[in-house]
Amino acid sequence: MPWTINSTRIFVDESKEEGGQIIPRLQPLSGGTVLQTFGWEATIRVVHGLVVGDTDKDAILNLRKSTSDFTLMSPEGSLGGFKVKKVTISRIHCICQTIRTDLAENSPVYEVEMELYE
Amino acid sequence: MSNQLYATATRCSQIQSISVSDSHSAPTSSATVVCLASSLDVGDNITINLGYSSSHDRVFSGYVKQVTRSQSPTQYEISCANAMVRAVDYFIVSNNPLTPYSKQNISAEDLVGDLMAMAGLTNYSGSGSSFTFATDGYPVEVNLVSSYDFSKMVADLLAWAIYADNDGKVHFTDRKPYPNGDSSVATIGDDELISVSYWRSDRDLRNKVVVYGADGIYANAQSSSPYLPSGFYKAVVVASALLIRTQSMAQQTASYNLAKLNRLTIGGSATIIGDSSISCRDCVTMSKADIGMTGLFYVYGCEHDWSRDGYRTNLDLRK
Repeated sequence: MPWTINSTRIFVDESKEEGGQIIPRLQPLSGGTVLQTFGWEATIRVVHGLVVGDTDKDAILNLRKSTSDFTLMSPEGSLGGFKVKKVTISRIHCICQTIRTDLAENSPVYEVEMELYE
Repeated sequence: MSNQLYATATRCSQIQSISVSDSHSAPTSSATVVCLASSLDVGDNITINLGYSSSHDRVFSGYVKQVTRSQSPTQYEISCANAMVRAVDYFIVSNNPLTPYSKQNISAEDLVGDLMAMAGLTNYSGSGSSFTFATDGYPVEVNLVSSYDFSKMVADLLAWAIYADNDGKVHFTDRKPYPNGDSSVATIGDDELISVSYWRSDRDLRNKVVVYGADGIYANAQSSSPYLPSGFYKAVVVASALLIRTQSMAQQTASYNLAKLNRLTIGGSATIIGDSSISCRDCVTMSKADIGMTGLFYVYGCEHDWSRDGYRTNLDLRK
Protein backbone atom coordinates (compact mmCIF):
# COMPACT_ATOMS: atom_id res chain seq x y z
CA MET A 1 0.00 0.00 0.00
CA PRO A 2 1.58 3.32 -1.03
CA TRP A 3 1.69 6.55 0.94
CA THR A 4 -1.27 8.78 0.15
CA ILE A 5 -2.99 11.78 1.70
CA ASN A 6 -6.63 12.17 0.81
CA SER A 7 -5.93 9.47 -1.84
CA THR A 8 -3.22 11.57 -3.54
CA ARG A 9 -0.02 9.63 -4.08
CA ILE A 10 3.11 10.86 -2.36
CA PHE A 11 6.51 9.18 -2.34
CA VAL A 12 7.55 9.64 1.26
CA ASP A 13 11.20 9.58 2.24
CA GLU A 14 10.78 10.95 5.78
CA SER A 15 7.92 11.05 8.26
CA LYS A 16 8.46 12.76 11.60
CA GLU A 17 6.19 12.86 14.63
CA GLU A 18 6.42 15.48 17.32
CA GLY A 19 4.51 15.77 20.58
CA GLY A 20 4.94 17.91 23.66
CA GLN A 21 3.63 18.58 27.11
CA ILE A 22 2.78 22.06 28.35
CA ILE A 23 4.89 22.62 31.43
CA PRO A 24 4.98 26.14 32.89
CA ARG A 25 8.12 26.81 34.89
CA LEU A 26 7.85 29.09 37.90
CA GLN A 27 10.91 30.27 39.72
CA PRO A 28 10.58 31.02 43.44
CA LEU A 29 13.10 33.29 45.12
CA SER A 30 14.95 30.30 46.51
CA GLY A 31 15.01 26.61 45.77
CA GLY A 32 14.50 24.81 42.51
CA THR A 33 12.22 25.67 39.66
CA VAL A 34 8.62 24.62 40.22
CA LEU A 35 7.08 22.76 37.31
CA GLN A 36 3.34 22.73 36.70
CA THR A 37 1.82 20.54 34.04
CA PHE A 38 -1.11 21.96 32.09
CA GLY A 39 -1.77 19.23 29.53
CA TRP A 40 -0.25 17.82 26.39
CA GLU A 41 -0.16 18.87 22.78
CA ALA A 42 -1.59 16.61 20.10
CA THR A 43 0.86 15.04 17.65
CA ILE A 44 2.33 17.15 14.88
CA ARG A 45 3.49 15.06 11.93
CA VAL A 46 5.84 16.32 9.25
CA VAL A 47 5.88 14.31 6.03
CA HIS A 48 8.54 14.88 3.39
CA GLY A 49 8.53 13.28 -0.06
CA LEU A 50 8.02 13.60 -3.79
CA VAL A 51 4.90 14.24 -5.84
CA VAL A 52 4.72 13.78 -9.56
CA GLY A 53 2.58 15.92 -11.86
CA ASP A 54 0.79 19.20 -11.47
CA THR A 55 -2.56 17.56 -10.74
CA ASP A 56 -1.31 15.85 -7.59
CA LYS A 57 0.78 18.87 -6.62
CA ASP A 58 -2.27 21.14 -6.83
CA ALA A 59 -4.45 18.60 -5.03
CA ILE A 60 -2.03 18.53 -2.09
CA LEU A 61 -1.62 22.30 -2.08
CA ASN A 62 -5.38 22.76 -1.96
CA LEU A 63 -5.72 20.64 1.17
CA ARG A 64 -4.59 23.64 3.23
CA LYS A 65 -7.81 25.49 2.29
CA SER A 66 -10.06 22.96 3.95
CA THR A 67 -10.87 22.66 7.64
CA SER A 68 -11.58 18.94 7.19
CA ASP A 69 -9.45 16.07 8.39
CA PHE A 70 -7.68 14.09 5.64
CA THR A 71 -6.61 10.48 5.95
CA LEU A 72 -2.90 9.78 5.74
CA MET A 73 -2.22 6.26 4.53
CA SER A 74 1.11 4.53 4.97
CA PRO A 75 2.25 1.10 3.79
CA GLU A 76 1.21 -0.17 7.23
CA GLY A 77 -2.28 1.30 7.00
CA SER A 78 -4.08 4.47 8.03
CA LEU A 79 -2.24 6.84 10.35
CA GLY A 80 -5.43 8.76 11.09
CA GLY A 81 -7.07 12.00 10.12
CA PHE A 82 -5.03 15.21 9.95
CA LYS A 83 -5.58 18.85 9.28
CA VAL A 84 -3.07 20.35 6.89
CA LYS A 85 -1.29 23.15 8.71
CA LYS A 86 1.32 23.94 6.07
CA VAL A 87 2.50 22.72 2.67
CA THR A 88 5.87 23.62 1.19
CA ILE A 89 6.50 22.65 -2.43
CA SER A 90 9.60 23.10 -4.54
CA ARG A 91 10.14 21.83 -8.07
CA ILE A 92 13.25 19.75 -8.50
CA HIS A 93 15.45 19.43 -11.55
CA CYS A 94 14.33 16.35 -13.46
CA ILE A 95 14.53 15.59 -17.19
CA CYS A 96 12.88 12.22 -17.19
CA GLN A 97 10.83 10.80 -14.36
CA THR A 98 10.19 7.09 -13.92
CA ILE A 99 8.61 7.31 -10.47
CA ARG A 100 5.09 7.34 -11.77
CA THR A 101 5.05 5.07 -14.80
CA ASP A 102 1.41 5.90 -15.36
CA LEU A 103 2.36 9.51 -16.09
CA ALA A 104 4.39 11.00 -18.92
CA GLU A 105 8.18 10.84 -18.53
CA ASN A 106 8.41 14.61 -18.78
CA SER A 107 5.94 15.20 -15.94
CA PRO A 108 7.26 17.70 -13.37
CA VAL A 109 8.51 16.35 -10.06
CA TYR A 110 8.04 18.26 -6.84
CA GLU A 111 9.58 17.99 -3.42
CA VAL A 112 6.80 18.33 -0.84
CA GLU A 113 6.84 18.94 2.91
CA MET A 114 3.55 18.87 4.82
CA GLU A 115 2.97 19.82 8.43
CA LEU A 116 -0.06 17.90 9.68
CA TYR A 117 -2.02 18.41 12.90
CA GLU A 118 -3.76 15.43 14.41
CA MET B 1 8.76 18.89 41.90
CA SER B 2 5.82 18.92 39.53
CA ASN B 3 2.12 19.58 40.06
CA GLN B 4 -0.59 18.92 37.53
CA LEU B 5 -2.82 21.95 37.15
CA TYR B 6 -6.51 21.41 37.77
CA ALA B 7 -9.56 23.58 37.16
CA THR B 8 -13.28 23.10 36.82
CA ALA B 9 -15.99 25.66 36.19
CA THR B 10 -19.69 24.89 35.97
CA ARG B 11 -20.71 23.90 32.42
CA CYS B 12 -17.35 24.94 30.96
CA SER B 13 -14.90 22.59 29.26
CA GLN B 14 -11.48 22.88 27.69
CA ILE B 15 -10.65 25.70 30.07
CA GLN B 16 -7.80 27.88 28.87
CA SER B 17 -7.48 30.34 31.72
CA ILE B 18 -9.18 31.47 34.90
CA SER B 19 -8.69 34.66 36.86
CA VAL B 20 -10.43 35.18 40.19
CA SER B 21 -9.93 38.37 42.16
CA ASP B 22 -11.32 39.69 45.40
CA SER B 23 -10.50 42.64 47.59
CA HIS B 24 -11.47 43.84 51.04
CA SER B 25 -12.61 47.12 49.55
CA ALA B 26 -14.51 45.72 46.55
CA PRO B 27 -18.27 45.06 46.76
CA THR B 28 -17.95 41.76 44.91
CA SER B 29 -15.31 39.32 43.89
CA SER B 30 -15.05 38.71 40.17
CA ALA B 31 -13.96 35.90 37.92
CA THR B 32 -13.16 35.48 34.25
CA VAL B 33 -13.12 32.07 32.61
CA VAL B 34 -11.79 31.57 29.09
CA CYS B 35 -12.75 28.22 27.62
CA LEU B 36 -13.41 26.54 24.29
CA ALA B 37 -16.88 25.19 25.13
CA SER B 38 -19.59 26.37 27.47
CA SER B 39 -23.36 26.23 27.82
CA LEU B 40 -23.50 29.05 30.38
CA ASP B 41 -25.72 32.05 29.86
CA VAL B 42 -26.10 35.35 31.66
CA GLY B 43 -27.64 34.86 35.10
CA ASP B 44 -26.57 31.22 35.49
CA ASN B 45 -24.89 30.02 38.65
CA ILE B 46 -21.21 29.23 38.36
CA THR B 47 -18.76 27.60 40.74
CA ILE B 48 -15.03 27.58 40.12
CA ASN B 49 -12.69 25.06 41.64
CA LEU B 50 -8.99 25.25 40.87
CA GLY B 51 -5.53 24.33 42.03
CA TYR B 52 -3.69 21.11 41.39
CA SER B 53 -4.97 17.60 40.79
CA SER B 54 -3.67 16.67 44.25
CA SER B 55 -5.22 19.66 46.06
CA HIS B 56 -7.75 22.15 44.86
CA ASP B 57 -10.37 24.40 46.40
CA ARG B 58 -13.55 26.23 45.57
CA VAL B 59 -12.31 29.75 44.92
CA PHE B 60 -15.49 31.31 43.58
CA SER B 61 -19.24 30.94 43.37
CA GLY B 62 -21.57 33.46 41.87
CA TYR B 63 -23.43 34.47 38.76
CA VAL B 64 -22.57 34.88 35.12
CA LYS B 65 -22.73 38.56 34.19
CA GLN B 66 -21.44 38.48 30.61
CA VAL B 67 -20.70 35.87 27.97
CA THR B 68 -18.45 36.83 25.07
CA ARG B 69 -18.09 34.39 22.21
CA SER B 70 -15.24 35.15 19.84
CA GLN B 71 -13.37 33.66 16.93
CA SER B 72 -9.71 33.62 16.11
CA PRO B 73 -9.23 32.23 18.58
CA THR B 74 -12.59 30.48 18.90
CA GLN B 75 -13.44 30.72 22.57
CA TYR B 76 -15.86 31.83 25.25
CA GLU B 77 -15.03 34.45 27.83
CA ILE B 78 -17.31 34.19 30.85
CA SER B 79 -17.34 37.15 33.26
CA CYS B 80 -18.85 36.55 36.67
CA ALA B 81 -19.48 38.26 39.99
CA ASN B 82 -20.09 36.66 43.36
CA ALA B 83 -23.36 36.56 45.28
CA MET B 84 -23.04 40.11 46.59
CA VAL B 85 -23.72 41.42 43.09
CA ARG B 86 -27.39 40.76 43.79
CA ALA B 87 -27.29 43.37 46.54
CA VAL B 88 -25.33 45.74 44.31
CA ASP B 89 -27.88 45.36 41.52
CA TYR B 90 -30.94 45.43 43.77
CA PHE B 91 -32.19 49.00 43.82
CA ILE B 92 -34.64 49.57 46.63
CA VAL B 93 -37.56 51.62 45.41
CA SER B 94 -41.03 51.49 46.92
CA ASN B 95 -44.06 51.57 44.63
CA ASN B 96 -45.49 54.33 46.77
CA PRO B 97 -42.96 57.00 47.81
CA LEU B 98 -44.96 57.60 50.96
CA THR B 99 -44.58 54.04 52.18
CA PRO B 100 -40.93 53.02 51.80
CA TYR B 101 -39.30 50.18 53.69
CA SER B 102 -39.17 51.34 57.29
CA LYS B 103 -38.23 49.83 60.63
CA GLN B 104 -38.03 50.97 64.22
CA ASN B 105 -35.87 49.73 67.05
CA ILE B 106 -33.83 47.46 64.81
CA SER B 107 -30.26 46.28 65.33
CA ALA B 108 -27.63 46.94 62.68
CA GLU B 109 -27.26 43.23 61.90
CA ASP B 110 -31.02 42.74 61.52
CA LEU B 111 -31.33 45.83 59.31
CA VAL B 112 -28.57 44.60 57.02
CA GLY B 113 -30.09 41.11 57.07
CA ASP B 114 -33.39 42.56 55.89
CA LEU B 115 -31.70 44.48 53.08
CA MET B 116 -29.80 41.39 51.95
CA ALA B 117 -33.00 39.33 52.03
CA MET B 118 -34.66 41.92 49.77
CA ALA B 119 -31.97 41.08 47.22
CA GLY B 120 -32.56 37.36 47.69
CA LEU B 121 -29.48 36.84 49.84
CA THR B 122 -30.86 34.78 52.71
CA ASN B 123 -27.66 32.83 53.42
CA TYR B 124 -26.58 35.50 55.87
CA SER B 125 -24.56 35.76 59.03
CA GLY B 126 -24.72 39.01 61.02
CA SER B 127 -22.53 39.36 64.09
CA GLY B 128 -24.10 40.94 67.14
CA SER B 129 -23.50 44.67 67.24
CA SER B 130 -24.21 47.21 69.94
CA PHE B 131 -25.99 49.48 67.47
CA THR B 132 -29.77 49.70 67.50
CA PHE B 133 -31.32 52.19 65.15
CA ALA B 134 -34.58 54.16 65.33
CA THR B 135 -35.09 53.94 69.05
CA ASP B 136 -36.51 57.47 69.22
CA GLY B 137 -39.90 56.68 67.73
CA TYR B 138 -38.97 57.70 64.22
CA PRO B 139 -38.38 54.85 61.76
CA VAL B 140 -35.37 54.21 59.55
CA GLU B 141 -36.63 54.56 56.01
CA VAL B 142 -34.76 53.04 53.10
CA ASN B 143 -35.63 54.05 49.56
CA LEU B 144 -33.89 54.93 46.28
CA VAL B 145 -30.63 53.28 47.18
CA SER B 146 -29.12 49.91 46.40
CA SER B 147 -29.25 47.19 49.00
CA TYR B 148 -25.46 47.01 49.07
CA ASP B 149 -24.86 50.76 49.31
CA PHE B 150 -27.11 51.15 52.33
CA SER B 151 -25.65 48.06 54.00
CA LYS B 152 -22.13 49.35 53.34
CA MET B 153 -23.07 52.65 54.94
CA VAL B 154 -24.24 50.79 58.05
CA ALA B 155 -21.01 48.78 58.07
CA ASP B 156 -18.93 51.94 57.78
CA LEU B 157 -20.65 53.46 60.82
CA LEU B 158 -19.48 50.50 62.88
CA ALA B 159 -16.09 50.28 61.11
CA TRP B 160 -17.22 46.77 60.10
CA ALA B 161 -17.28 44.96 56.76
CA ILE B 162 -19.89 43.29 54.61
CA TYR B 163 -18.94 40.70 52.03
CA ALA B 164 -19.89 37.38 50.46
CA ASP B 165 -17.53 34.43 50.87
CA ASN B 166 -16.53 31.78 48.32
CA ASP B 167 -19.65 29.76 49.15
CA GLY B 168 -21.98 32.70 48.58
CA LYS B 169 -22.70 33.36 52.25
CA VAL B 170 -22.99 37.01 53.22
CA HIS B 171 -21.15 38.16 56.33
CA PHE B 172 -21.74 41.36 58.27
CA THR B 173 -18.98 41.37 60.81
CA ASP B 174 -16.20 43.20 62.61
CA ARG B 175 -13.59 42.44 59.96
CA LYS B 176 -10.83 44.99 60.17
CA PRO B 177 -8.45 45.42 57.21
CA TYR B 178 -5.52 44.17 59.27
CA PRO B 179 -4.77 41.15 61.49
CA ASN B 180 -6.98 41.28 64.54
CA GLY B 181 -6.53 38.14 66.59
CA ASP B 182 -6.66 35.93 63.50
CA SER B 183 -4.86 32.67 62.88
CA SER B 184 -2.64 32.08 59.85
CA VAL B 185 -3.76 29.89 56.97
CA ALA B 186 -0.33 29.68 55.33
CA THR B 187 3.32 30.56 55.81
CA ILE B 188 4.96 32.27 52.88
CA GLY B 189 8.71 32.46 52.40
CA ASP B 190 11.32 32.36 49.67
CA ASP B 191 10.26 28.87 48.60
CA GLU B 192 6.78 30.13 47.70
CA LEU B 193 7.53 33.69 46.63
CA ILE B 194 8.08 34.58 42.99
CA SER B 195 8.27 38.30 43.69
CA VAL B 196 7.57 40.50 46.68
CA SER B 197 7.54 44.13 47.78
CA TYR B 198 7.00 45.70 51.17
CA TRP B 199 5.96 49.24 52.00
CA ARG B 200 4.91 51.57 54.80
CA SER B 201 2.72 54.59 54.17
CA ASP B 202 0.62 57.17 55.96
CA ARG B 203 -1.70 57.28 52.93
CA ASP B 204 -4.73 55.85 54.72
CA LEU B 205 -3.92 57.19 58.16
CA ARG B 206 -6.61 59.40 59.74
CA ASN B 207 -6.15 60.55 63.32
CA LYS B 208 -9.35 62.56 63.62
CA VAL B 209 -12.87 61.31 62.97
CA VAL B 210 -15.80 63.69 62.95
CA VAL B 211 -19.33 62.31 63.01
CA TYR B 212 -22.41 64.24 62.00
CA GLY B 213 -25.79 62.77 62.86
CA ALA B 214 -29.32 64.11 63.13
CA ASP B 215 -29.93 67.71 64.19
CA GLY B 216 -27.76 68.55 67.17
CA ILE B 217 -26.00 65.19 67.19
CA TYR B 218 -22.29 65.27 66.49
CA ALA B 219 -19.09 63.87 67.92
CA ASN B 220 -15.42 63.57 67.22
CA ALA B 221 -12.49 61.46 68.27
CA GLN B 222 -8.86 62.28 67.72
CA SER B 223 -5.46 61.13 68.78
CA SER B 224 -1.92 62.22 68.02
CA SER B 225 0.00 60.03 65.61
CA PRO B 226 3.71 59.29 65.86
CA TYR B 227 3.79 59.37 62.05
CA LEU B 228 2.43 62.90 61.70
CA PRO B 229 3.77 66.22 62.97
CA SER B 230 2.82 67.05 66.54
CA GLY B 231 -0.61 68.62 66.69
CA PHE B 232 -1.40 67.77 63.07
CA TYR B 233 -4.62 65.95 62.34
CA LYS B 234 -5.80 64.28 59.15
CA ALA B 235 -9.57 64.19 59.43
CA VAL B 236 -12.35 62.11 57.97
CA VAL B 237 -16.09 62.69 58.28
CA VAL B 238 -18.79 60.10 58.82
CA ALA B 239 -22.25 61.51 58.30
CA SER B 240 -25.70 59.95 58.51
CA ALA B 241 -28.62 61.99 59.76
CA LEU B 242 -30.85 59.02 59.03
CA LEU B 243 -29.11 56.51 61.29
CA ILE B 244 -27.11 58.43 63.89
CA ARG B 245 -29.74 59.87 66.18
CA THR B 246 -28.23 59.52 69.63
CA GLN B 247 -25.13 61.13 71.06
CA SER B 248 -23.76 57.83 72.31
CA MET B 249 -24.05 56.28 68.86
CA ALA B 250 -22.23 59.25 67.33
CA GLN B 251 -19.43 58.92 69.86
CA GLN B 252 -19.16 55.18 69.33
CA THR B 253 -18.96 55.68 65.56
CA ALA B 254 -16.17 58.19 66.02
CA SER B 255 -14.23 55.94 68.39
CA TYR B 256 -14.60 52.79 66.28
CA ASN B 257 -13.47 54.53 63.11
CA LEU B 258 -10.56 56.25 64.84
CA ALA B 259 -9.32 52.87 66.07
CA LYS B 260 -9.58 51.53 62.53
CA LEU B 261 -7.96 54.47 60.75
CA ASN B 262 -5.34 55.88 63.11
CA ARG B 263 -2.58 53.52 62.11
CA LEU B 264 0.28 53.43 59.71
CA THR B 265 -0.55 51.33 56.70
CA ILE B 266 2.06 48.61 56.40
CA GLY B 267 1.56 46.45 53.41
CA GLY B 268 3.09 44.50 50.63
CA SER B 269 2.50 42.75 47.37
CA ALA B 270 3.48 39.17 46.85
CA THR B 271 3.25 36.86 43.88
CA ILE B 272 3.52 33.26 44.97
CA ILE B 273 3.31 29.79 43.47
CA GLY B 274 -0.45 29.27 43.16
CA ASP B 275 -2.19 28.40 46.42
CA SER B 276 -5.95 27.93 46.20
CA SER B 277 -6.31 27.62 49.98
CA ILE B 278 -5.69 31.36 50.41
CA SER B 279 -8.66 33.70 50.12
CA CYS B 280 -9.23 37.38 50.57
CA ARG B 281 -9.70 38.28 54.29
CA ASP B 282 -7.51 35.38 55.45
CA CYS B 283 -4.29 36.02 57.31
CA VAL B 284 -0.93 34.60 56.29
CA THR B 285 2.43 34.49 57.99
CA MET B 286 5.19 36.18 55.99
CA SER B 287 8.70 34.90 56.47
CA LYS B 288 10.82 37.39 54.56
CA ALA B 289 13.17 38.78 57.20
CA ASP B 290 15.72 40.18 54.74
CA ILE B 291 13.28 42.93 53.72
CA GLY B 292 11.72 43.18 57.18
CA MET B 293 8.47 41.53 56.11
CA THR B 294 7.71 39.09 58.89
CA GLY B 295 4.71 38.16 60.98
CA LEU B 296 1.00 37.96 60.40
CA PHE B 297 -0.46 39.82 57.40
CA TYR B 298 -4.07 40.32 56.37
CA VAL B 299 -4.94 39.33 52.80
CA TYR B 300 -6.49 42.62 51.66
CA GLY B 301 -6.65 41.47 48.06
CA CYS B 302 -6.20 38.10 46.40
CA GLU B 303 -6.05 37.12 42.74
CA HIS B 304 -5.76 33.56 41.48
CA ASP B 305 -4.26 33.61 38.00
CA TRP B 306 -4.45 30.18 36.33
CA SER B 307 -3.49 29.43 32.73
CA ARG B 308 -1.14 27.47 30.53
CA ASP B 309 1.55 29.91 31.69
CA GLY B 310 1.17 28.49 35.19
CA TYR B 311 -0.77 29.10 38.36
CA ARG B 312 0.18 32.11 40.44
CA THR B 313 -1.55 33.80 43.34
CA ASN B 314 -1.12 37.57 43.70
CA LEU B 315 -1.59 38.89 47.21
CA ASP B 316 -2.15 42.43 48.44
CA LEU B 317 -1.22 42.31 52.12
CA ARG B 318 -1.73 44.56 55.16
CA LYS B 319 -0.21 44.39 58.60
